[in-house]
Amino acid sequence: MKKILLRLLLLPKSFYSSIGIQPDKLKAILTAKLLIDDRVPEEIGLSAKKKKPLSGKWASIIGFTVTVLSGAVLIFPLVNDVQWILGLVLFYTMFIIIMAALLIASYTNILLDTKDNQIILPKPVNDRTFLAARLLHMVIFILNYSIPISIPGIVAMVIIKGWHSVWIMLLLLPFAIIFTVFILNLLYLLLLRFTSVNLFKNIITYFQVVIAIIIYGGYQIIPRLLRNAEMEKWKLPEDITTLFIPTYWWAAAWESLYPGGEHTVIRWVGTVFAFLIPLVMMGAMVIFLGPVFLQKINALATSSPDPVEKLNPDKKKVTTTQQGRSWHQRLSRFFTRRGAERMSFEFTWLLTARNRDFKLMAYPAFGYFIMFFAFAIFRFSEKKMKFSLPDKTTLEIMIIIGSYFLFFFIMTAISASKYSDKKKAAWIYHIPPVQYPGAIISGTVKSILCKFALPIFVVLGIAGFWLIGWTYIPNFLLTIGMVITYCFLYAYLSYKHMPFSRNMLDKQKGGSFFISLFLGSLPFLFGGLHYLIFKMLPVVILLMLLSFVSNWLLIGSLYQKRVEGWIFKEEVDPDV
Amino acid sequence: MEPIISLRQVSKSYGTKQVLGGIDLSILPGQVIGYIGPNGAGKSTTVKILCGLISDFEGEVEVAGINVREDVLGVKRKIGYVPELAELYDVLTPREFLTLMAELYELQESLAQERIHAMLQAIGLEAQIDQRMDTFSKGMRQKVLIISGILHNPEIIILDEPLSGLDANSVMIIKELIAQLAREGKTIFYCSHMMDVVEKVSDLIILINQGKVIAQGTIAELREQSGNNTSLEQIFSQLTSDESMSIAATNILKAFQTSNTTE
Repeated sequence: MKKILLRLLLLPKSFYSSIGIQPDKLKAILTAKLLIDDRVPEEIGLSAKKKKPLSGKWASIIGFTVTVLSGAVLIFPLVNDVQWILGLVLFYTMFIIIMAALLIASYTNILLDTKDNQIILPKPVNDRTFLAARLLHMVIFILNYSIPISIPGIVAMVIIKGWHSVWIMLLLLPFAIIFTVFILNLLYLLLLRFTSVNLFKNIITYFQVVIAIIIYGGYQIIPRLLRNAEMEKWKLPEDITTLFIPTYWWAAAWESLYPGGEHTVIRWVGTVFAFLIPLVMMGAMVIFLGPVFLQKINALATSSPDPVEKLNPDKKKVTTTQQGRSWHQRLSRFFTRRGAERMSFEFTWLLTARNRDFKLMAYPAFGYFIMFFAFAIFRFSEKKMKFSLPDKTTLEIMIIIGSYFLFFFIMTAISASKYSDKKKAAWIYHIPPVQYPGAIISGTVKSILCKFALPIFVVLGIAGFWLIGWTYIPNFLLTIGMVITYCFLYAYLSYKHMPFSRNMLDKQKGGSFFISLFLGSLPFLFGGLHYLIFKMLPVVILLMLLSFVSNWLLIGSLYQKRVEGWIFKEEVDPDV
Repeated sequence: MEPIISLRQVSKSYGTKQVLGGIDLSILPGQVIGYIGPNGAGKSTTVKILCGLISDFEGEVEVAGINVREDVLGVKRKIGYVPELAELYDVLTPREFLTLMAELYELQESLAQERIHAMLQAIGLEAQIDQRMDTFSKGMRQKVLIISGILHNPEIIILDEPLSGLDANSVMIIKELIAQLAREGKTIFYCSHMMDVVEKVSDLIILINQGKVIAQGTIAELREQSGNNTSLEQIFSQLTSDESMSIAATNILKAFQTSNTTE
């Protein structure tokens, strides 16, 4: 698939030459890049002893199916009774947002790959070729995803409008993608113009988190909105101002190219824009923005000094309390034992705020938790188009059950604490005389609980007590007990390495399917059981006490987990 | 003879911090230059300017008669650059990686494959030619990097700590390679902290500190200038260190004594 796309994209050789790109070198770089994409780094010391990951064929099929399913949301604007052109505008808007999210998620690997600075830039390759290689690499990457994502939409179009939809969609896809790539590049350039390199990386991380939440929110809200009767009556006013909506261009192009479509002047203008503007944008990117952009990207290489940070060496001083201890150090003294556990608690606290891999994996899960929780509690009225609170008893049940969604966030945060792009730095765990490696894991789990779960518990506790009263307390304490039990059980069963000692790419190699299935189903089991005994106060209190006892035992077990069964050799350098 | 590398009043700053402050260099073809200096002296910045990787500098730089500002690609064609602690696309095999490098240097495919084979064989990596580099040791990666820098037979070779991670036998191979390349008329710009190697392989040693050239000459001339110092390491220490190394070591040990009394 990627090879076909590469051939197609390299076809206009003379066009590339005319704008100063070296086509042969472009082809060489892209071929190598696609080869690199297809290979996952081999783990040092990985041998036949290691459990076999999912076979390539099955992994591809599952990956393809998941991608197709994630595109199912695109069906909604097409199958509801809204105006067809409006449905198409919504379809392309959602499509571009999903594509942008994918692009942002992979930007470190492609757009800001600092390896290229050392490997390709010293070679006789001009800036335009270098930049075009990056742009086209992104386009291929995204096209490779966009086709399966658009399958549900294409199927819906075929059912509604017939087979012509297929070629129209496939023809318009690359142009919509080039547009998305350009807009994101422009955004990066603007950000890099006004921020330091590290701040830029942080902004992009939070941007990814926000996009993930928007997409999830879109999945929840858009189908509800589209079922609204007012929306069904609303018509898109098609005049010159509509041409300022970029996604209208492709909607208009779709209508203009469709044999039975309604043809108007505005739609034909939109069609021209749909094809022309992305090409002009690509040319402008390569010719005008390229050199500036490359200069900025070069600054992202870790070896390059960051002028802003160099000039303000005191800027990032950690704030401490008057006694010389910061909040996390005080908490660590309260919740952990001296030595490895305390070190791990404080280390995790700091890294979870600074490690980009952690933020990218865990923070969207927090957003999902908020969305899940909000949708569990608030009732959305499609007629009135507004949210409202349910009655007191339902509210109490929903707050308690909604709190169980916290499991997924904390589970993701614990899981994310295994990974770091600086995994080799994990040698530090093996050098000090640590008697129980479990103490390190225990410190990490406690740190995550204190940092992410504790504030949520405090907010939910106060809000629940204020809205419902004291009857809320036993159920709420049981929820806390269950969350803590689950976290330590999850860490005990799933943590096989030191914290922050694995590469994100290792994640794809999978683990024990049954343990994952068991751990994945526990929140539903706990939540379901709690729902059944919700009104039986003595049972709730008994279970609450039992959960505290189980926590005590689990924390002790995790702490005393010995070296056997812990894999160390994967963090060792190949030279030794 | 016309210099093959010429830097005139080259300066470079990051914000208000000046990294290079008016460097003047004139290097003749076939010379092996030992370019040394403490950490942060400006060695890598000089090298990046020479290779056309940094364009916003002041002054004039000419490489093989080409002004680096006017024809950066022309300069890049003349240079073979082996960066310090460089990254590799390590999921590729040496053959795939070096083929990409050859394509970027516009080498003919058959010639490139011939050279890749011969060079990997010479350096002891022929058996690993189709093995992915993510399982390679630091030394093996360094060898592939060195080949990628000389594959296109450049006139000027810039080596930034090329012996990093290599074992004793490989160090000897690279030292001999540098000597033979110099005999063939190549100009070698050699940046390193390994003073004994620099001392042995260089025709001309340039010492920079805080962005300025503080000494240059043959090892004999440097010895003469610095009094009775016998090794380059001693000359380097004398010219670049603020305080005695032994005082620094004593201060470190003093920290133990202080903490012992408070324990």
